[in-house]
Amino acid sequence: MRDVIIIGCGGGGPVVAKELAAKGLDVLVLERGERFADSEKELEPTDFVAFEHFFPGVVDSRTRAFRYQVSGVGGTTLHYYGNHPRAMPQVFQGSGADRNRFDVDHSFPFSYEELIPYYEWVEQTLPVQTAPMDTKARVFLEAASATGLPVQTSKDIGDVATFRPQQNAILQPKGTAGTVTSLRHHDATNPLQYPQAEGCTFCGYCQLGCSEPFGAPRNLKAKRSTDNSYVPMALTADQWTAGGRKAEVIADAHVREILTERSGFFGRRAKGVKWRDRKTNQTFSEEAKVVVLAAGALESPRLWLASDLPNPNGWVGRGYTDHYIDLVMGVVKDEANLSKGASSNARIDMPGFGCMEVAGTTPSSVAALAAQSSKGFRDDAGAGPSGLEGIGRLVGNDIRAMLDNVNRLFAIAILTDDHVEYRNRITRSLVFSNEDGRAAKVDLNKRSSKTVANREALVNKALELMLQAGAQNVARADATPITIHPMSSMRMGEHAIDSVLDDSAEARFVDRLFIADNSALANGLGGTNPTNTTQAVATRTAEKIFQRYFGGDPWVKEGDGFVSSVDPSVTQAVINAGL
Amino acid sequence: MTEAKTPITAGRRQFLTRTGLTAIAVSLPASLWVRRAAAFQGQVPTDDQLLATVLQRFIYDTYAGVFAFEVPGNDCYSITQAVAVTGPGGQPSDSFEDDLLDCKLNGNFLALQHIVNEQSILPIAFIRTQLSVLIGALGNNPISMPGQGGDGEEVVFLDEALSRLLDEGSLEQGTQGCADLAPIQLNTSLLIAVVLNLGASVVDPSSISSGGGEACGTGLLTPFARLNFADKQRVFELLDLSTNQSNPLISAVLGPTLLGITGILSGTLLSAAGLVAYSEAMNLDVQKYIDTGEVELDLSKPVRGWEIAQYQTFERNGKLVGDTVHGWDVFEGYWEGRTEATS
Repeated sequence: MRDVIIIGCGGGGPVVAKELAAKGLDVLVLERGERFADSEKELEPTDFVAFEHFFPGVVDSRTRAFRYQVSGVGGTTLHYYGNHPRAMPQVFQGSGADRNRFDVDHSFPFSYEELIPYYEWVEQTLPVQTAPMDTKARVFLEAASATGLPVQTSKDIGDVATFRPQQNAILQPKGTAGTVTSLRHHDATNPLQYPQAEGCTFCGYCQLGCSEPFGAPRNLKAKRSTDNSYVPMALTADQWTAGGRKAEVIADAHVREILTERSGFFGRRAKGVKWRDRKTNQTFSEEAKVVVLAAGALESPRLWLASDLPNPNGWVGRGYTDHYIDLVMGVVKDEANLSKGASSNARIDMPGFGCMEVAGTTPSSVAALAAQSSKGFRDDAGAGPSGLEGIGRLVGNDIRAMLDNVNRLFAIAILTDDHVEYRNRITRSLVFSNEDGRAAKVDLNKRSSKTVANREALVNKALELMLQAGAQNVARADATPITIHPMSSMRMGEHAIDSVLDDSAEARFVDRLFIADNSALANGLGGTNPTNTTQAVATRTAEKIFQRYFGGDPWVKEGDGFVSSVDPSVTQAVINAGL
Repeated sequence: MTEAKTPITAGRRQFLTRTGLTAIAVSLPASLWVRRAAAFQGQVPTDDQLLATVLQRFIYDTYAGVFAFEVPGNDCYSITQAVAVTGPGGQPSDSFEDDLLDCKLNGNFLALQHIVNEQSILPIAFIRTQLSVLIGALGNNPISMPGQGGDGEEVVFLDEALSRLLDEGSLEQGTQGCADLAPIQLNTSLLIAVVLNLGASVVDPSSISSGGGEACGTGLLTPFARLNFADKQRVFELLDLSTNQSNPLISAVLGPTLLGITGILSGTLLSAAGLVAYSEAMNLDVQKYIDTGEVELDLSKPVRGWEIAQYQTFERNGKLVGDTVHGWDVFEGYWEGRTEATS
């Protein structure tokens, strides 16, 4: 019997794995997708190959669109932009926030102050650093400044709208990084070879997995996706910390069922998992003292439902939020270099409304994103606020005009403070299925009037930025089908009546079952990118597991045994292990 | 050709004609059959092989119309829809017949099929049921169509092979000839091509008739590809329309069970077409993909979608290539010189 089995090796699972492996527990991580062991060869930065990391399974019944998911060791962090802001403090217990501005009916069951040590732990482990400027970030920051917003220099968001460079989980550039343009090849003539170059080389492929700089040990790759940070640490925990025990990660392992047994008269407790090797099709069962579900905000409720686990208050899969993403695009006079440099190095936070950020990407991604909208095909008539020339799907001449020179395209992603709604939920599709059964389905039945108003306010601000940047042909995608921040579908909450998890992220209805992915978040975080908060909460959850079921002591607040993922001891361990 | 074992039902006749399948079977040049037969080492191609050829052409023509709609260029499909621009667009080729005969399907076409089929996760049983229901409904609500006087052998073989496809889910072609054409399966690409062409027959019934698309030499063969840009958009709008009552495509043709998924198929298809048109998909190693299912790209050639967007095209040893980069020289320091935030 294992101590802990973790389902999913994405943004949250490896955090728990690393923390508990460092405490000497026997940890097994099961990941549905593959492991890109040789990232310099396997994470080829081309869109079509990267598409292969995605897998089908999610259908949105309202917008009737597919929502793409990724699998593989690293999960969504393989493809994320590395943005690591802290959540807005007002969405936590006891914030005293204005009830009309924030989703205080669905607060976190603990205070912001309590989470700060865990934020610091994560931010130093990865590490998270202030982003440098590339062309598009400068355009964004200058435009934001010109609109009269104050600059923010703190990691903590306050009460008023501000702009700032991102706090990113991307190593800052050193040496030749950022100063040289070089074609991709792997030999001694590469001027961006490690250690001549360290940190971000500004290749522009954040969304395609990060293997730069070439030649760097895996734990020193620029973007701190978990495959470059937490996973190498978990796999080598016996080497870089006294008393550590290396975790085991099995890829291509799809968990089909969480196994439970009776506990007391009415209760149930987790006792293990049943999983299938996707390559051999063999099925295995394995028991553990604790099971951690970290399959993602869409797959975690699906697995819960597929396992017929109890759902007495009906909140399993409910309360789903996703930042009600929108995209505002325009063509600027001078080059913004949208596809060069880290994908997003600048942002605006608007407490009570949400956030926005510069959205760098490749032309094919722009075309794919712009082809979907909840507003139908682009309609130029009466499109809305000043500066907006069209809204809706961009096809034909509209997409050609937008993409005739991607270097002059400028794009802003809108991250709305999306309030929890009971009616928005994950179920299992009756029509769509894959090799592991009925697909997850997003039922988006209601956006609250506050959520809708929040997004409009953010779009208006983005249009103001576009105006300042001198953009023309400004279009809005109104891109509801795009999902990059699915959250809170298995939410933790203050009240047993409207949450699945207690304040330790343990399931209220199944003992010894914890959740450590975006689904565990209590709400939409005020609009901030979720990974930093998910990883901070997952760190806290690991501590709770260790205390509650293994008789251990907490370690984060005291800073006991802290080691950064870029520490020389980890680098040596990674080299020793051949990772 | 085999003899018809059962009479062709009204529904199947409507289906074959309104989708354009009959027109394709009739219009494929005689030389195709001869050369295809030669490709099969002198064997006379079976009905299944002929149907597979027809269906490949059917999906190709429809998807070429989709590429032109998503990213128009100077190709004949764009010219046919009356929205074309100078230089290449999303549709990479005007010469399907030559490609087909030479077993050289282009990467864009395969990539779009791949994405649509992989992402849609529609079970074969569901597709089979939907097509069967659809065929029945078409028979109950027939429209007058040209060429219903008698059944040519093309119609007979199409009907026979279609029945087998619906029964068995795929048509085996053996291992000879063009491997990339075998087997044809009931998949989402086929379903969505059917849906788009039936949509065309609703939006503009004249698109069922042959003619049109002369810019493409022998003319275009599927109703969807014959539409002008505005009518193509109308087809997609009908697919997105979630109501039964005001949607003639649903109420008169597809039926309510498809109502929930047509919007999904529409969104997936256009996003995938945009992704493919501006990506390196055209440089897909087609033969390797067909042989192994693995995606491998040849970036020693320039990527056309990247050239269109002025994304990244380089010279290496005096030759244009579609390489990716290690990095760019776009580092501009730190905002106000701050390299860290306070806690």
